[in-house]
Amino acid sequence: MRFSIKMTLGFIILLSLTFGVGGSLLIMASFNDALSRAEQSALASHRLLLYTLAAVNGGAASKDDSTASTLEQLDAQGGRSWMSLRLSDGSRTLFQSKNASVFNRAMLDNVSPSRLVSMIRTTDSGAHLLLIAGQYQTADGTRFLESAYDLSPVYTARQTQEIIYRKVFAAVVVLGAGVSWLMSFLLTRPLRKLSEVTRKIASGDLSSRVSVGGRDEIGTLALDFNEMTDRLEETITELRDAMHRQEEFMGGFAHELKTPMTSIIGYADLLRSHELSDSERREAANYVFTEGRRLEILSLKLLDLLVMKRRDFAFIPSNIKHIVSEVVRLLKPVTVKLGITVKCRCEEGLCMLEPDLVKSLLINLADNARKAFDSGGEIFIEAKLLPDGCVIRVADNGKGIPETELSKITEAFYRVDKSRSRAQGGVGLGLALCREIADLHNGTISFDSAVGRGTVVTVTLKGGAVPCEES
Amino acid sequence: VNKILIVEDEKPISNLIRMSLNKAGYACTCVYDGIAAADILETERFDLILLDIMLPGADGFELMEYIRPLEIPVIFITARNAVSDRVKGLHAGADDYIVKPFEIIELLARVETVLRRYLKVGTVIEMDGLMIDTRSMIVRREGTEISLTRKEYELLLLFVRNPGTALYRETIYERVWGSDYMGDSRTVDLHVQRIRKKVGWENKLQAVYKVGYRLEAGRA
Repeated sequence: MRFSIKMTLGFIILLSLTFGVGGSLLIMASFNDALSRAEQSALASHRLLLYTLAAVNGGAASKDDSTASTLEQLDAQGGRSWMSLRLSDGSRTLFQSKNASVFNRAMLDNVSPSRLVSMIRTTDSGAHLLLIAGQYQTADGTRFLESAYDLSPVYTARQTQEIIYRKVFAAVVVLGAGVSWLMSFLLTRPLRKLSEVTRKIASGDLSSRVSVGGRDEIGTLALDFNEMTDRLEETITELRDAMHRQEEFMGGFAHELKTPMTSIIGYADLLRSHELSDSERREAANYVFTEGRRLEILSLKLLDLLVMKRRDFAFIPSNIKHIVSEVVRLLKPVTVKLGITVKCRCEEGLCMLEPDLVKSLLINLADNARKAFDSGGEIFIEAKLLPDGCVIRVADNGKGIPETELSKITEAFYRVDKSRSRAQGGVGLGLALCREIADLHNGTISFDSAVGRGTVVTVTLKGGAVPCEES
Repeated sequence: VNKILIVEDEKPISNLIRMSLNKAGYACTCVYDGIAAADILETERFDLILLDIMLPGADGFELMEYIRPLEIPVIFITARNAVSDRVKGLHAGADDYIVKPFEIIELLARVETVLRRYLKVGTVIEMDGLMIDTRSMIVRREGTEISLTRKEYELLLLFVRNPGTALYRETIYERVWGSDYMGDSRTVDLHVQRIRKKVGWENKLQAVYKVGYRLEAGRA
């Protein structure tokens, strides 16, 4: 059952209960009140008549006839409050007005001098009558006076009230049902919107959002819901991106494997199947060797990348200047041969880092820098300390990188100049590795380059502040 | 002699293709990027182009636009094996498609097939008194027809197309029987023996110790 119908039904039941019970009680109380007031007034008038008769007839000889005639006169007058009167001595009727048939002689048995007896009688015609009986003493004995009062107006009033009440009740219930249905419709509208959007999201449309205003619970729910969807969308997008990157990496990797594989297999096949001249044989064997070496470099770099993904390195306080000088020393044979000068300006001091990784990072960057030269040039390495790490800058005055390529150079297997890179023994993983190392140190790597003027690579490493040494 | 243009930026592979095609008797020219390929096509006429898709300068697909009006058959060489890539290559007008890593013998077979399709290779191969008509699949010696089974014919063709090449038993098996070699050398040996007898090449089809067989002598 729909919520709005449930709410409407509940509201109708509540309304009927309170209004019905309350109304009925009110009508009953008002009726009882009116009835008792009519009774009191009837009893009072009866008692007055009784006392009058008793006073008039007291002590003296029988005046029954005059009493009867007095009563007859009274009864004939307009403005009398009773409907019917009867005077009797117990067995004989002394006077009776019209409609005396309503009286019940059995009532007289319970009458005592101090006590009036009353009862309500419903006649066959539907009229409600109050019968009152009382007695007084005369010289001749006990006289009984009975009177009948018409209570019908009280009953009619109740009936009228009931009819009005029913009409009002019906109107109130219909109105209440309408209002409550409208209210529940308005209240559940945001919920319906919410459920519609939920279905949309479930069917894959992650960009849907709920547009529910208000600061009530439903408004808050909508806000929370939207926030949840934002997070969800973010996470899914991230996952998709990661998957995409993974696929690209795999594609690049497969390509990088295939090329040397083709050469190795091809040259080996040539060597085994054909009679080759000495120079041809040497050439083929050389290709097998160099392409094999290329696979070796590729696998080593790949291993480095994989190790990096494990991310369980310990940072230790290291002197950045020592690391830089060691890298320069390692590169010396190559740089001297190529006529490249290496200059350093490093601040002395400790910062938190993984020295082997930073060394690898520097070697990669310096190696890239030296590949930027066709013939001699200058590489400048600068290191500065930060409160929570250090900044290393590797600059060269080589050929530079075109601006359009800068955003892609840290992607695995991306190379600006493929054939040149291959000739220099690159596999396209160096900068991907560098970025990974910078990430690991909560740092960044950025490139600034101009074609023909050179490249500046800035690496910021934030391994944290060096803990104070206890003396 | 058929002239083949090799457009491949990976020097080792380019060189490998050149050496192998030279051995098979083709004349080759190597270029290493798309622009150089377009330049050389301006001045020289080739019978076939082997085209790498990922090229510096202009890529293979771009180059295809340039080559198509010249009506030179093209075989794409690529490292990408996705069906969509292959379809794209064939749509661009390539005659065949070869995926790295490939074996040289496969490349040679494809080169020859494409050339034959364009009738740039004679349909009749003559070798040492033997005339093989590759269109009607008839082998004659001095005018007399030699009847060969299908497999024997294919085996003979494999030797004739790769003269002077030591063909390994597994290579022969894979080429002729079309499935992976399971170490059952008897099939190959048996067929080679029957061919030797039928075409009278007892001395020309030489066994290579522990390897397989080699057809002596160059192409006539």
